[in-house]
Amino acid sequence: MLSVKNLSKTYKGSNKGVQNLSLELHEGDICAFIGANGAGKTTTIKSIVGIHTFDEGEVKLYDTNLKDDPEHYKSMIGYSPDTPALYNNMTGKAYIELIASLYKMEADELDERLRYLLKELKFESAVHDLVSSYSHGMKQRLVLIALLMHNPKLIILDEPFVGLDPNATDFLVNEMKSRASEGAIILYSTHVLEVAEKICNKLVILNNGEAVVNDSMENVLKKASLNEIFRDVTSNE
Amino acid sequence: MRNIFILGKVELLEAIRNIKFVWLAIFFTILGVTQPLIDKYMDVIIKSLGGIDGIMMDPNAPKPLANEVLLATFSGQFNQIGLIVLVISFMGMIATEKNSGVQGFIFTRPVSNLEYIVSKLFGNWFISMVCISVGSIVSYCYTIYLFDYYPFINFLLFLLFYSLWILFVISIAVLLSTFISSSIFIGITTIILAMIFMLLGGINETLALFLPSGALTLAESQLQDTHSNYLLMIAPIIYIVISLYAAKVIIKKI
Amino acid sequence: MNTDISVLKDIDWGAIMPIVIPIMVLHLLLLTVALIDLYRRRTIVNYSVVWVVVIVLLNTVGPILYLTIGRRLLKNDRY
Repeated sequence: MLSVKNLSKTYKGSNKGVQNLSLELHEGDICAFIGANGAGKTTTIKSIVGIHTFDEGEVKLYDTNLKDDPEHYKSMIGYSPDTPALYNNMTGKAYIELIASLYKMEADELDERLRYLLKELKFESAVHDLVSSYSHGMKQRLVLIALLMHNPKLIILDEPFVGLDPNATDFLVNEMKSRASEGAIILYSTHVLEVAEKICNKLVILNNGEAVVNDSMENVLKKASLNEIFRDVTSNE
Repeated sequence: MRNIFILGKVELLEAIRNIKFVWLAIFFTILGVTQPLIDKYMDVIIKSLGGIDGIMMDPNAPKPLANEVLLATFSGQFNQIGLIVLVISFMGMIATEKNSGVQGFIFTRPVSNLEYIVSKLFGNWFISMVCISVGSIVSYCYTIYLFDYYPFINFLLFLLFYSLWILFVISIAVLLSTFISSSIFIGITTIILAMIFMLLGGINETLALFLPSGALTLAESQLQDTHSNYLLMIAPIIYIVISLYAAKVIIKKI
Repeated sequence: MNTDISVLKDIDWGAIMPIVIPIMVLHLLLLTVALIDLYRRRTIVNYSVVWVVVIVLLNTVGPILYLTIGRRLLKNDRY
């Protein structure tokens, strides 16, 4: 269970950020973060994954508090940033091995999961090339491999579908569903409302750093379609 | 401990692929051979110009001793232009990662801030010391070839204590990197602070006991026939630990 | 590192060559390393032509400037 309580984070000299966000996600939940650009999606995500600290609030995954035991917390999450930042001078394989060693994975365990991921994402030959030669989409696929291979309990994706080809998008959607059915918690930000409507059971709409909608997808869709709600919420500034 | 080793290895691999090892070693070798050659060369220049300018060399003028030449190499070349280039070579170690987002990648992994900082410190220290050692060993060989013999063991001891000084300089850069985002600014501040400590440490040995540049005083005493006060090691170690601790505290607030 | 050329004219070169050659070789080596690296990164480094001039004309300082700063100034400001 992921519980976020009263999370607040503001940047110095700017009114951007996120205020008083609370969120509770259980095993098997897929939650979409929706909001206009600058609504605070990335800020929230970066606070939850522990890239930057937040001013107030509490983030807990099962019994592990992010602020008390960040290493244990981080060993349970998998995160994909909005722009993949990688070591350009490495091959994809070296990169994967580096990350696997940080999670203290056994070699045979890694091999088995890697074989599956490389095959599904059609990455078997590219893995031996230098990261600097990859296209944006390939870098993103490498990030996906690196984030899925240690079977994280919490998967956090910042705009994961941007730059992915249709095959990789299909794979990711299916993978998200199957991981959730196996008990993972998935949280992702997106602008693609159609996909969110299909796969998510929780929805958060952010506007100017505040959660204006924070409910189950079922309840939200009772009122109107996602497109209409999104337009409503983001227009009344 | 394991993570420090893994991240340190990444640092070394980057330095190999960036050919930093190659050029930095060549650079220090140039610095290392210049001083002994100049000292020898001056002699020859003056001799060959002697007839024209009427300057006569005193044939009994004392030839510089090997240890004096080595000392001049380190205090004149390595500690000035060498230090500046060295600092420039690693000033971006944390800042570029912060600006490019690679640091975000590290901080979402089960790696503690301290492990990250320590891996940066020792990774860059190792790279720097390999390059400095290549340069100074060539310098040593040249000096004993051109001048007279000086015990290799003293030279090694010198290098050992000198590496402590370098470790301190890198730890300043690490500390500054946690709150300054421009790598140029980090570099300049590190160089200025190092120079100030060197000047202060040069005033007298009692003051040096309380300064990180005590490592330098101790190193240089290995090349002189003066006694070595090993208490000089304490201050640099304390300063390094303090900078690491401060860096660990500050980096949390990014 | 900087030598005044005019003074060197009247020197007994025979005596000096064995001393000067190692320095010359090292300088050339550094220059070559910088030029090879620049050639390999010519498509991504900003102002690559300017850097060629700097590397060749400024003895030692040029290659070092390129290797420390120039090779990091990339065209698309991505790491």
